[in-house]
Amino acid sequence: MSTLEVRRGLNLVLGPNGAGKSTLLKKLAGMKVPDGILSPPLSSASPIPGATYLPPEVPNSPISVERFMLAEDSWYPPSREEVEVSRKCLSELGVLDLLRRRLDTLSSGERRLVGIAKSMTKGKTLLLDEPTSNLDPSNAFIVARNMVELSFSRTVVAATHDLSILPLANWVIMIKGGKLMDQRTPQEVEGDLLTTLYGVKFVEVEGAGRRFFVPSIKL
Amino acid sequence: MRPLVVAIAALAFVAAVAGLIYGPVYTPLNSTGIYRHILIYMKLPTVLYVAIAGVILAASGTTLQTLFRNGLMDPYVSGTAAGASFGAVVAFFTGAPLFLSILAEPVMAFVFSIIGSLIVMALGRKGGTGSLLLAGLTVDFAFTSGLLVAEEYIQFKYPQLPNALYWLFGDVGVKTFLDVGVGSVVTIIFLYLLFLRARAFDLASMGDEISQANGLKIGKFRLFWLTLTSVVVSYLVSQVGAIGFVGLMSPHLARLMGADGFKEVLSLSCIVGVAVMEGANALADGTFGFIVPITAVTSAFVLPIMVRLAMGIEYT
Repeated sequence: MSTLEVRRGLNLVLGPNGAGKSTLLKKLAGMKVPDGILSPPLSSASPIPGATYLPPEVPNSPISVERFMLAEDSWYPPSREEVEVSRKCLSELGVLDLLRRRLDTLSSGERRLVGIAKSMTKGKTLLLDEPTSNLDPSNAFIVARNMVELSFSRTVVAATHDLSILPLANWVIMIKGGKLMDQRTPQEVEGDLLTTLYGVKFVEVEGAGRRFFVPSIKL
Repeated sequence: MRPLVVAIAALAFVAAVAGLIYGPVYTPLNSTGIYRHILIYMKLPTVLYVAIAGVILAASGTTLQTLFRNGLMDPYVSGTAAGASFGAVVAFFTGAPLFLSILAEPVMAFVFSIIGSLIVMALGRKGGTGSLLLAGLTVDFAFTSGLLVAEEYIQFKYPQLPNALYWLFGDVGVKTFLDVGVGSVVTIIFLYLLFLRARAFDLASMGDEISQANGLKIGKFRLFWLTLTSVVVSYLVSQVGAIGFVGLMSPHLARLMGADGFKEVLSLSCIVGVAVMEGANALADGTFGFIVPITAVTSAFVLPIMVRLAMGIEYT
């Protein structure tokens, strides 16, 4: 298999639980990951400069959005520029009005958006781990729409089980057991490929002018 | 929030003045002669030291609660204070001459406060809030039982030493202006460093993954601050014994009053800590007509907060 490719726009990392998706994202962020989970070529993937990892759950700490956005490994008070950047990122996602709210009073969807805004302050590449997990369809849609909009100006890599995002992506990376199984554009993804990836039969359905994949239900 | 802060600061002041006037010896502010001497040279430094103790306890409680992301942490729960008390008493079992043991006391208190904290951290890291609390209680029980046995033995071996049970429950005793000077220096350095790193503490309060993702080496950060907090707490324990719950309740009250982020919680909880300690000291030091251990008073103060926490009430 060739080396891992991350393209401009929205990249999806697909794979069953325990495939190493989170580990891969952390590795791309330059964080320390345990050995032995990923095998070549993923294990030798080099970190993307300025890429920030965002875990699935943003903790509901008793701290305001404003403070969280300015939380930093720093010895100095926040500069005016840092304050401006943090507000700009919040308003880009339409959540600037949450500025004074405490994280533990926000909904999971709002917290997820604030988390993404925090990652945006760090650099041009966002590594989002299961950005739509545990969200109701409306919140999941809001997060997904924001991801697509962000992907016009930034590189977004999202590990997900949410196959409804698939038609919106620019590039799909499939990993299984720590190995890179396949990578291709979403237009080239076939049901058989997902069947191999997840071990259940997938079928293709058409809707809203797009191709979606759902597990074939035979009870 | 501001009127509330002023009210608490006023409360602290009133309690401090009460601490000056009342106590084993009644000394009104216009006392003369020997009473004036007691007021100026015994009660004043003691009341000042009580404020220092309040700040150190509140600041270390805020630090530990943030580092462990756990609202139940304070030096009493984290094993830090129990370890320090135990270490201080163990110093008398080294077989060294008595005067050397007395010199070794603060060092042993520090060593064992670190040991206590590390055991709690190792036992309780994986299992979350409840697990950390259980680990703290376990270590506290272990050190306390060791301390009780050691205490009986010391009384037997060195009857000339005063009863050291105050290690367990806290006793401010009588402090000098020198004590106040040393205590102020320790407190100012500790607070200065904490304020410098306020933004990093905000990051740490968001959990390990978000901390690491934003470039904070959370493992090293936690170990450094746990060590520094242990140094400061073991110093305080060597001066006033283990005073419980001030470190637990102060940050809670600060957050209840609307403090947001580490800097604000730290500032406000220090003011609360001073008020609580001055109040507790005034009550403990003779208001009932006799002296009671200060932890008996502080633990009575903390009850409403513990009831809130037990019932799962969040502050929103």
